[in-house]
Amino acid sequence: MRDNLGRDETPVILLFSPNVAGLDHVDMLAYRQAVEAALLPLFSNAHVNSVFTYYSTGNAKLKSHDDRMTYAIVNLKRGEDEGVAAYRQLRESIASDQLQIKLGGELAVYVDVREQLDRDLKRAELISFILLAVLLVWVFRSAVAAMLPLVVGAVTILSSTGWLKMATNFTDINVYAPNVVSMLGLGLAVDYSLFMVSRFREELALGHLVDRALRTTMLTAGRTLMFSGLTVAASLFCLFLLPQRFFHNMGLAGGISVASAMFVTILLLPAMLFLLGKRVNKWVPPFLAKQSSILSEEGRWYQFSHFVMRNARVVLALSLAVLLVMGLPVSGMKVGPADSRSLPVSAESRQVQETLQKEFAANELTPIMVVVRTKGELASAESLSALYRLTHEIKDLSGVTRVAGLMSLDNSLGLSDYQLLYQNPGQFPQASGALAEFGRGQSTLITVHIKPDSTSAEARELVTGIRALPLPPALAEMQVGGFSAFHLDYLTSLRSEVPKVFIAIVIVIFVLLFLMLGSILVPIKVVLTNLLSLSATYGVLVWIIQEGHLSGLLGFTPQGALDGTILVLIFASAFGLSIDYEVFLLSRVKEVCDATKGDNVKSVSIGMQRSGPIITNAALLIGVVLGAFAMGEVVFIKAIGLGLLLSVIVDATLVRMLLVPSTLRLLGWLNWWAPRPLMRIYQRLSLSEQENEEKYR
Amino acid sequence: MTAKKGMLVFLAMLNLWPSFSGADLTLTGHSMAGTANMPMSSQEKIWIRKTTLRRDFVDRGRAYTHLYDLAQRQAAIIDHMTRVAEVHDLSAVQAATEVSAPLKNLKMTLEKTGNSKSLKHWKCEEHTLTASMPARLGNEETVFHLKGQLWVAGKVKELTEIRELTKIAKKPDFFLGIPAVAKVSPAQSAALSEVVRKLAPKGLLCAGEIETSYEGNGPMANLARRIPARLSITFQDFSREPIAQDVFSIPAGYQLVRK
Repeated sequence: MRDNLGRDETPVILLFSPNVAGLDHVDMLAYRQAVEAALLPLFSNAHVNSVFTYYSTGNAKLKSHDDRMTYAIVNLKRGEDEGVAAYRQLRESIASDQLQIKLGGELAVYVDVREQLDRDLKRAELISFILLAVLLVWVFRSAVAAMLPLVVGAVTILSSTGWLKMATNFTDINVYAPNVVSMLGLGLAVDYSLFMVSRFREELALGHLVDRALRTTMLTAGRTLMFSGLTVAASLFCLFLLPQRFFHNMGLAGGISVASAMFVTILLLPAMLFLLGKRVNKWVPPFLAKQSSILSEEGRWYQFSHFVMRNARVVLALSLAVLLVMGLPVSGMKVGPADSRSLPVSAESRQVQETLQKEFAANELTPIMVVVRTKGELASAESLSALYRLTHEIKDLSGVTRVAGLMSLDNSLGLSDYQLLYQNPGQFPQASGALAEFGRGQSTLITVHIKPDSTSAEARELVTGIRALPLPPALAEMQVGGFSAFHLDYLTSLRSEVPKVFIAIVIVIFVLLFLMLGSILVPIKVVLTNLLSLSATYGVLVWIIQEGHLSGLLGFTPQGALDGTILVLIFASAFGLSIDYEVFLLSRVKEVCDATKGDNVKSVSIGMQRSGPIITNAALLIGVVLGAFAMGEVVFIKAIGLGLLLSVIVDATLVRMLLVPSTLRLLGWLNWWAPRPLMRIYQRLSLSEQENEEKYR
Repeated sequence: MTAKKGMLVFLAMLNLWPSFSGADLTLTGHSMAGTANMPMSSQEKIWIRKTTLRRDFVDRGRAYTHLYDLAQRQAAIIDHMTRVAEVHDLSAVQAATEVSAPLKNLKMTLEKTGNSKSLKHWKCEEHTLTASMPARLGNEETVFHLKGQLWVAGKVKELTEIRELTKIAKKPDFFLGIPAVAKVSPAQSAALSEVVRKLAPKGLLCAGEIETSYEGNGPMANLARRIPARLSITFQDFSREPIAQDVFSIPAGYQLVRK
């Protein structure tokens, strides 16, 4: 439409309703004058392409059932920012003493989402920092140690936001990117810092000097977090395999946040730890002075792991059953586009959308757009004949309410009339007007108004129906667009491309896990467990976001479907994120296993004991961050925050506490087996933690 | 600009004309061009000062301004979406029109019906207009017909300032039209300009409803009869408040194209 028809505009809806007594009917002259007075500034607005009203078009669909409301369609030039600046200027310039004016439409929803996300981001960051500060003091039992993850988190946010801003010089950055960067960056930075600070303090507790403690920390926790960062980043970078720029954006944003978290943690934190030395344990609040050592081999985690391993089969069956039950709602999952319902009810654009749906006859805003290019001149007899045929075939499709185009000026006109009209446009103002409105060069636009909601499956079927129409020989090309077509194409693309991304992520994770653990079966088990964990996450998301359970508590409107974008983003982020804790546990188990020459039970128990509190704390901390973002008002970020939070919870509880120890027990020596050639590769490229095996003897 | 809109301008001009006296006059109302499935209505605003006038209207959602300086015989057609102002020499337009459509072939009557309606304190008397003129429609020789009702306020105080108008209207080279319309429909354009000249001394236009048609046996004439253009304009208000000078200027930053 932009290239062939010169139409690069976006519609904004101005919904008018009476604000004073006496303006009861839109057909009153005073009502019309009030609407036109309000619209007057728009005609000198350089960003406004055109303005259509009930009055200018006579289109009765632009007035409400009770004749008290009407709306104007203002077509704004898109510009480089998709019309956002123009929209904001429009919003400021439009006012009326007599009428209430609300702004709606796709662009208005976009701007409202953007502004709401900005507010949510500030609130989530504030809440996260306050809660993290309290929790970190409780976790570390030292105010000095607690400050470190906060500093790392703050620097990560600053750094990743800076990188993201820099990226805007080269590419468009999606509206959701800052929130994703902040959510992932802060969560991971705090988690990574927790691992590093905990390990450092653990080493100090063993009586090591600061420089040795730091060196060991870097060789163990440092390596693990590097690996974790790599897995999360690799998962997110797999989004580049999808053709949509949105996913490239999110891949980039995710990559930036993970890289920032990783580099700030391994560069800034060691320096701070070195400078602080043993003072990292200072400022212990008196009420938290008593602490049990995680180095104990008879701790609760140790005993719990023994219990799990004694009942490995039962625990495995039960935990699998729980995961499968959680994942059951996935069978009823519906994938649909996000709309204004993802905004809070107080959002103006959402109110407009709901009013249009309830109070107005038909949807005039999101028609199917058909752009046709003719082989010869647009006004040639052959081209017009082909257009006539195509227009009537579209009109005859079930669900089509109205078609607007060159061949739909008057139902009484036949093909020969239209040919005469368009071959003499100078003599017939109707023809010159229609050509100006619908044609340019050899291209023409057919606007197809439909009965089904544009987000519905029926609307997408109509798009498919139009595309399936045979193209008359005189037409070179037909392209079908508009919201329904866009969504249909998007879903089709996701269906064909997402499996490739899934496979890529699984392969990347498998390879990285192998390099970390030197095992074949454990990575397979981890990938399968993750898929189960993700299906459980998706199941709960369907139950909450799609079906609306807990919607009152969580403050959102049931969506009736899940946005496919959310599912892909959760998959890419959660697959990497949820592997974190498992890897942290497995690396500890592997470390002990190597040191004890393959004592399976002991290595699992010690690994659980050593990693248990840290993983629990890490899950708690990142859960706080994700939870703070999940409390945002925009459903898109709420769903991502909630999805990742669920994934972390499932991973830190069911997977880490039950599935991993039980399967490790059942697999026995097979856990760390790998074919000899692969083992050689592992030994050459190993990413595993390095530590002195004497410790475990 | 289409012939349909050209006729709307003509209707607007009818109203503007009598008030060329030096005082400022602003008229506000609505126009409607009803053709086939594409009826378009527009808010109308007309500002007049001495020999200059400005008309603002909306056509297919886009805002336009026509600025006339009749003393200088210039017309500026301003498209606010593209921010382009085309400046035309009305003398040249008139010369081109008369070659194709000599005024001697125009037949026109304008008669009172005895009915009236009011616009604020104006009493607007109904007149029946009929006009016809040979015209070419594509390759066909046809007769262009214009008929309808015009409501004119004849005895109102605002008419005391029409001396400059009368002077201009009496000149043999008087022409008021839209260049784009004159180019494709010279007969229609000439007829409309002549109606303005005839109506000017009768008063101020309050409203008008006009239908155009073509007489002929060819396919073009037959088609034109099946989709007649109906045009109307109604003013709801007028004011003699002073008008800012910049109203009559081409807005700054617009591209100027001299034709």
